[in-house]
Amino acid sequence: MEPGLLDLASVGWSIALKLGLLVGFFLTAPLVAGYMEHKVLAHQQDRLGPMEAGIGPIKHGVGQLVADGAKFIQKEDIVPAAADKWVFSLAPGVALVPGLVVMLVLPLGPGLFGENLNAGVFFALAVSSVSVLGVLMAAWSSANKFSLMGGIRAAAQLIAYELPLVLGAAAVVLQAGTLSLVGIIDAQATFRVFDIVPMWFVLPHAVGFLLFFVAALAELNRPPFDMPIADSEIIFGHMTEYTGIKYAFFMLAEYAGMVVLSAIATVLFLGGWYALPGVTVPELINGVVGVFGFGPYGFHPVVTGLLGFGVTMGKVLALVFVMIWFRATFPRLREDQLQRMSWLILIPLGLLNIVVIAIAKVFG
Amino acid sequence: MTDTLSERDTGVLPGGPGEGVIVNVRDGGDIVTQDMNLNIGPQHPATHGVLRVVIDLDGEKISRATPVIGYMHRGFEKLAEARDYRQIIALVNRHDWLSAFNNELGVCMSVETMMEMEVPDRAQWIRVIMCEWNRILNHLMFVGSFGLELGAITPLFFAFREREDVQHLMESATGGRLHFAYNRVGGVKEDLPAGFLQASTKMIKVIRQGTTQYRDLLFGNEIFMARTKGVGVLPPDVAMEFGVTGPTLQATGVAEDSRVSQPYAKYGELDVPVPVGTNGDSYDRFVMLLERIDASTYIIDQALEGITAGACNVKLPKIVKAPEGEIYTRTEAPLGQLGYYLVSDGKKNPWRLKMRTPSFYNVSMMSYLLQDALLSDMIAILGSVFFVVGDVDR
Amino acid sequence: MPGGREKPTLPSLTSVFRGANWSERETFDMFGIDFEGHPGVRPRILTVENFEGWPLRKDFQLTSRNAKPWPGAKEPEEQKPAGGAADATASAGDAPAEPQDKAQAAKAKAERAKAKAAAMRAKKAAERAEAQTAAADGAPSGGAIADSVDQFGGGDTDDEAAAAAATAGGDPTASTPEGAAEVAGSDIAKDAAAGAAQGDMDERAAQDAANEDEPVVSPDAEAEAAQGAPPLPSTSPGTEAEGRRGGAEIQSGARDAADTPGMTSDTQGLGAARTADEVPAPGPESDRPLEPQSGESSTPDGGAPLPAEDDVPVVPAQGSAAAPLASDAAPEEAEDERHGLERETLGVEGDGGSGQDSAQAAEGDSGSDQNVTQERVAQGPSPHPSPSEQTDTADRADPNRDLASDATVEDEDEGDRR
Repeated sequence: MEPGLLDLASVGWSIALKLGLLVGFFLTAPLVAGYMEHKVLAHQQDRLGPMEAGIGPIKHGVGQLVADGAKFIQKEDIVPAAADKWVFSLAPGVALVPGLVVMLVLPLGPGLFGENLNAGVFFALAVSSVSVLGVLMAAWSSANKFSLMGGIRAAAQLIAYELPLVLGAAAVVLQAGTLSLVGIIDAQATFRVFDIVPMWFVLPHAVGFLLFFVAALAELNRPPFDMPIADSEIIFGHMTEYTGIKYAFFMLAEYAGMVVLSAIATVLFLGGWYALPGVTVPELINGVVGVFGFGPYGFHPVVTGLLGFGVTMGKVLALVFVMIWFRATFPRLREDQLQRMSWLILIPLGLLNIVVIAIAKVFG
Repeated sequence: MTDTLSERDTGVLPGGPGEGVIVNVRDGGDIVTQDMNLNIGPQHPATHGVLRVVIDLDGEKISRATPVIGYMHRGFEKLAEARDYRQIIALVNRHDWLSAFNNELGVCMSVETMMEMEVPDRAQWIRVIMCEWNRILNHLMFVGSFGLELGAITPLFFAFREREDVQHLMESATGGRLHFAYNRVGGVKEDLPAGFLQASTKMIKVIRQGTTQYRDLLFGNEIFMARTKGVGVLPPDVAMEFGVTGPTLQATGVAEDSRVSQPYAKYGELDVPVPVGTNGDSYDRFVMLLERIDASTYIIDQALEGITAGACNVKLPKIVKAPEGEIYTRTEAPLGQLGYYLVSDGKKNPWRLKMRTPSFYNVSMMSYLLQDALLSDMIAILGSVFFVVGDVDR
Repeated sequence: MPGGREKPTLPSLTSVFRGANWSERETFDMFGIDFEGHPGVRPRILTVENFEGWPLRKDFQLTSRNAKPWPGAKEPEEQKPAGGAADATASAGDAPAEPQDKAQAAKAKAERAKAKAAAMRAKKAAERAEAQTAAADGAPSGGAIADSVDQFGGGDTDDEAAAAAATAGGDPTASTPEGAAEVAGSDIAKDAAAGAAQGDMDERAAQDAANEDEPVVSPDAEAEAAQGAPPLPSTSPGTEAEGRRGGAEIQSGARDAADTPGMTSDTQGLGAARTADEVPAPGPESDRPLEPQSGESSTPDGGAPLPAEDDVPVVPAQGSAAAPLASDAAPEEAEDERHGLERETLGVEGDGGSGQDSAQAAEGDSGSDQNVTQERVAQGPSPHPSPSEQTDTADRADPNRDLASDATVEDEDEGDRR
């Protein structure tokens, strides 16, 4: 395992640095996703979205989510009389923390990761599915029938969708031959379709990518799979009884989940920080300026890391954009339709995908 | 919660606060489930208004559904007995607030017929145009909200975009956005403003573009089809037994429309298309909305050609008194057939005014449709059996 | 119906039409009619479970109406006994001011009626003829008034009274009070004392008329009737008001505006106008009939010719409430005029007899037994003359003064028309 950029000589300092950056990223990335949702959805629906709240002279609602957060903090924290208080209070945290933990292993740029685990994929998928536990806790403890319905739906959805998610990822792991997220990115850099065309895994694993993305939507309770929080049916599912900061935690968890799962998808299928298949940003820049006769420049590793981070975030936000786009486009599926789709289409497809990939891997 | 948890020995597990899901664990681990009783409403996002549906849920399946109405009962029929005919126009505006103009028209026609009054041609044409605009206004509302209830938020914004324009148009003539109070006994309040007809012509194009867009947005959508096709199938005989009318009835394949079967105003001189569905499911009901919007634009087109100049109301006595007698007037309101049964004893206010509102009968049929439906389908059904709670409760 | 009023029952239709279920439940809820064979008319469908009574039965009174009867619910005949007391108490405080007030009101109205009649005359020949026959009953009372005027009026007023009597005899001036009003309104009333005397006479005359025309229910009612009388004829009397005055009640079966309200007002206006030939009518008044057009909501705006008689209803509001103040307070009159317009747009004019309305408004009566219109009018600028106004009577009696104030009014009218 080569050390990342954040691994300093002193273990204590490097932990502090990692934690600081992690929390910083964790608190800002969901806000970016949330702001995107506000604005993208608005423009897709022929309206403007938030326009006033801003940070300093920058308006266009960039400060909307900060303002929302401030509002949520001020709100009364209501715990229903019949609720199981401890579980009820714990649930938002349980929903939120997995997102934070998964970010620890996400490689967002060359050398930019908290920890390069050998079993990175396994870790990320396992931890990210824990957040459903928070949903179930909230649903159960709220002492509300609508919450309970939402919880039951969430549980059913969890079982139906973890499988396609894992199957989609498993095919990539099979192809790359490693469970390490950084290893998978590197594998994509050297991957050639038919040994000629450099390509990310998204092309050969189109089916897997589709499975993964759809399953991620379902896991995040994003439309069109938002039955657990279907607001026109069961009010707001497990969040029905939540107010104030606890509700804000749930919302933060949702957007964090969007970022995390998009990041995992980026790593698994879209080549991570590589600007083009097999080409990092510095290489790309040097290639472009080389055409005009400028010599290859050397890049400091930090700059390289930041450039790579930018590319990764670009891809992540593109996926987030698609998720938002889905929300503007699709009605909600019905629970039974989702189950049918999962068990009858996605899971067989995933299995088939693994078989095909395995055969290609062995004979190709 | 904790209390009920401690009572596990009794076999009661808390699903809600000690009630709701009750799992009876009997000998041998044979699990007998009991239905969960759930109140949808009176404050629920899907019931647009204060309709309450008490459902018994077996899992996600509804084993029994009972609509409970009356939360918005305002006693219009009693109030009407204490008001004169001009005030009643303002009153009936309010039972179905989405089709105010059509409501007014029913009352005015009743009184006019009883007084054997000749309504000027121009007033009749204006009434036709306004009725159809109001119908479009109403249907656009349901087009938007139906998508919203299925989880698609965008159609609402698209529909309201056009709706706002139509509202501006009607406001320019009537001065009102919701409660127009534009009808008078013997005609309409005043003539159309200058440029109204041209604006109508333009607006028709906008509406047609809009409906095309809604169709593109929803009918090409697999999920939308899956959610609505075959959901809440209403057979025509049941529909008629329950007195269901309007788009809900037409979706079952019955081409009943009082604009055709009993023409009023100038509808007799117009070609009024009556769209019909085939299956009577939620999808057909929704299609009916769009088709009826198209039909309305077609009718407005004809009316804009046919409209004549002249007076648009008649001179009234200071006190409008319907002569002694009774009359039943039915009109095609956007939600279905709207009947006013007016009994007069010759005074200036009616002896009795019975309102036969379409929503009331549409909702009374609801328990039939909801039987054995899924909870999610309930929303698709509630959204596609068109009703306005004020119209149910009056 | 089987079961009688206490427990009425009917056979149910639900076995034939399932949809009858809710209709029958509603019928039970509203009328208390039970249905045999119905799956269950309870729980009550529209009202709450513990609701008492059957709302749509006629004996069920709306709760708020127990405290204060809905003004539009009753015919004026019904409400007179009840309303009279309130009127009397309400007007008691202003008793000294009343006669002048009324005289003023009546005067203004008479003048307007004159002008209007002049404007209408050409158009309304046919209707007038019809009206004359219909209003023939009014003639005797006209005579009576003339008598009473003779009795109370000064020498100067004799001519007027005679003129009024003459017109009443030949061409039936249904408006007995009109004659009196005419007298009061003539330019002969030159000083405050005279104004008071005429006011007094005016009231008595009206009382006489009331006595002749109908049995007086109570002193209060009589007072009310008397107070209601002067403004009535020249304004647009509702049929009810007409009936109460003692003329044969003209049914609104003749529903054209020209018939009912126009008829009476026309004849009265005519009578007034004929006397007006002898009395110089204030010039600016001739414009007045046009003014209500802007407020007449039921008037076709779409190019239909505006019938002159549509003007009638607005006048009471002005004539009654505004006129007393007109000389001193033009703005208030403007405000009152607004009220007049308001009642027009409400579409309830003539509801309980506008004449009475305006009379009560003139008294500053806030009694609400009449109808919405009246309440609005009454709540408008208080027509109670302030002490300063009372001392002003001489000014008001001065025709020149009137001219001036009318000119202001006319200006406002112009504004209105625009």
